[in-house]
Amino acid sequence: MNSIVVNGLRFHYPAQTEPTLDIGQLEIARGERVFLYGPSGSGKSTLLSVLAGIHRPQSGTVAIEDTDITALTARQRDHFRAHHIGYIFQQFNLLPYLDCIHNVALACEFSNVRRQRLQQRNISPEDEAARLLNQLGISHEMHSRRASELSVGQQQRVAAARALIGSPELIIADEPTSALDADSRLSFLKLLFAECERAGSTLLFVSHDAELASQFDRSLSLSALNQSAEA
Amino acid sequence: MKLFKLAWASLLSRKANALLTVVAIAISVMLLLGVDRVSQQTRAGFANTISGTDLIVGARSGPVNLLLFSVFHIGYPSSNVSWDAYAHWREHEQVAWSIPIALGDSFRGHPVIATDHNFFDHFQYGQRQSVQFAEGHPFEHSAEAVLGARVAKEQGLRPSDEVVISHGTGSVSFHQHDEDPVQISGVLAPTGTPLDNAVFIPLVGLATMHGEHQAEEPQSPPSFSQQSVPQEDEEHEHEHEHEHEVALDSEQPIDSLSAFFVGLHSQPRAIFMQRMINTWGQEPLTALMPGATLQELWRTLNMFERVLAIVSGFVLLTGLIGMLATLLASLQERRREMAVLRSLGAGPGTIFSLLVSEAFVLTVTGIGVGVALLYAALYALAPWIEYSFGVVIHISWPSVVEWQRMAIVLVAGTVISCLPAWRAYRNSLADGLTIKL
Repeated sequence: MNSIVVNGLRFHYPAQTEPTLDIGQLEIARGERVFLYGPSGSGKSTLLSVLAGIHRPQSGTVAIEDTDITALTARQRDHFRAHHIGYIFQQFNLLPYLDCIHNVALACEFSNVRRQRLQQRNISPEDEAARLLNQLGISHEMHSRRASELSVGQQQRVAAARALIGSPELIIADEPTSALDADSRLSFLKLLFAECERAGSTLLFVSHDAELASQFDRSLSLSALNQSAEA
Repeated sequence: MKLFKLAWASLLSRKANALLTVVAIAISVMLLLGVDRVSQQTRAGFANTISGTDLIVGARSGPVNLLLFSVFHIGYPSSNVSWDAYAHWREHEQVAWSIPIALGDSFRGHPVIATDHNFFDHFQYGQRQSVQFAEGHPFEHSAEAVLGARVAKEQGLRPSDEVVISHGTGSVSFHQHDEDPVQISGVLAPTGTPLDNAVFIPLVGLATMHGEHQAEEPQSPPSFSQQSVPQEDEEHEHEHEHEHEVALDSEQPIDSLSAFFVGLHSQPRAIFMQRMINTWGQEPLTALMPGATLQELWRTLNMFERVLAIVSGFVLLTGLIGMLATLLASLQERRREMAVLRSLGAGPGTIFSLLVSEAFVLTVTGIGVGVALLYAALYALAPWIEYSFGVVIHISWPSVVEWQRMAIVLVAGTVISCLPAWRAYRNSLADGLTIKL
């Protein structure tokens, strides 16, 4: 069973004629932890936007959890992302005016599927958020603090909790450790791996930092995958 | 609902900007409603000054002038109506009642109205309310006077006190009828009209004060409208102490009048009567129907109302543009927020409605604060407006027009926010999941 299957993907931005992405085939198995690396400008962010269903490729198919998202409307892709994909940015993941608990629970506000998964286990989004935050090393007294009062490392762990709440099938992390120092980088990865395993989520981790590659099941070079002229 | 909560939390994190926007909208709403409120109240106050009177008749002049001096005690009659003319029309078969009035004197700045018992019997204001006495009774002798409610309150006078009426209008008068003190017989109940500010004396009393009955040529009008002319003063300084107890039912208490109010048996006949009086050959007279002339007067004042409404419209526009500027300026710093929401599955439509609902919250709050400010101002200023202009401000719930204006502000605020919302929509499509710093 595969979490991601890409076939004959070609994508270019409206103003351009040369494709930014040209990927013949890419398969990521369910539950796999994949490291995707490439220099800046190799189309990492664009690929992630396509996988998350923000951008739609001009040709080819992208199947996430056996759903061909290129066949969905923009609205359906937004819903699909809310239900099945957890996304972690490089920085500034949180809404500065909400506290930690509500930043994490926010993911459930946009997805009834995530809420239902918690309901089946008889857990409220707030309780699950608190549990995840504790697991990720955000102690209880921090939970009601505003996101803007946290350190960058703490913010990234709260962001990971938000991506993981409600156990989405796929976690996409776009250079989430680039703002962290070496020590917190590794401890963040360990926590992220543990929680992905617990939730049974596939992890696609993007970074230009090749040192981290050894921590993953598999590593892919985007430069090798992407056959477009620019890559 | 979750969206609304989110917009609210986001707004609270930008308190200072939000507060300024709310204040700008509140002030414009207050002005917009206040202008309308005050003009409505003034209009109602004007309309309430006189009721049940079908015609007001004076010497030939502009109807607005006649209305102003006879009802509002503003300005002077340019000439007088002879008693003979009054006697003629008083006896007309259509006329049910009539009230003669003679103006020109004052008491410590309050206008003095010389009239007769018909005034207390027939004059009506507001919704056909008759004049009531708070204390005492109408004058019964020539040396008695009735005070309006405010005069009594301000001057601290009660029935049986004695006062001296002065010549001419204005609070400072050089000539006082020192020799003619009058006794207060009664005080009127408050009416919220110019009556509150007036002093009422019998026609005979006025004539006595001016020594009219001793004048060489009693028939030559006008006899008292020129009191301010110095040469005339000598004529008035006659000795007439013995006349103080002149009976009020004199056949011709005075030679001429400023105007007279007429009530008809049949109100629809007023237009025919007006025409008849206006075209009367024996003396040039002007008859007016109070309702119609009040309308005419109001049209003149309407100009001010319109100018004020236009100004407050522009203030509102400024407030809304201020909100627009604040929203547009916040867009750049909120691009991250938008990208985060997009990553969580919020569609561009959600981003759009987030901004619109923020503007909605700002506008609703602004309107609420504006209405609160308006009521606070009305409560604070109502006594002053009543004192200065004789207009009673009734503090009531917002009218239909005011609700409509509030709705217009709300719609305008919401519509105007579509511009930044549209830009946020476009941004969120273009940015996707990249965070622009």
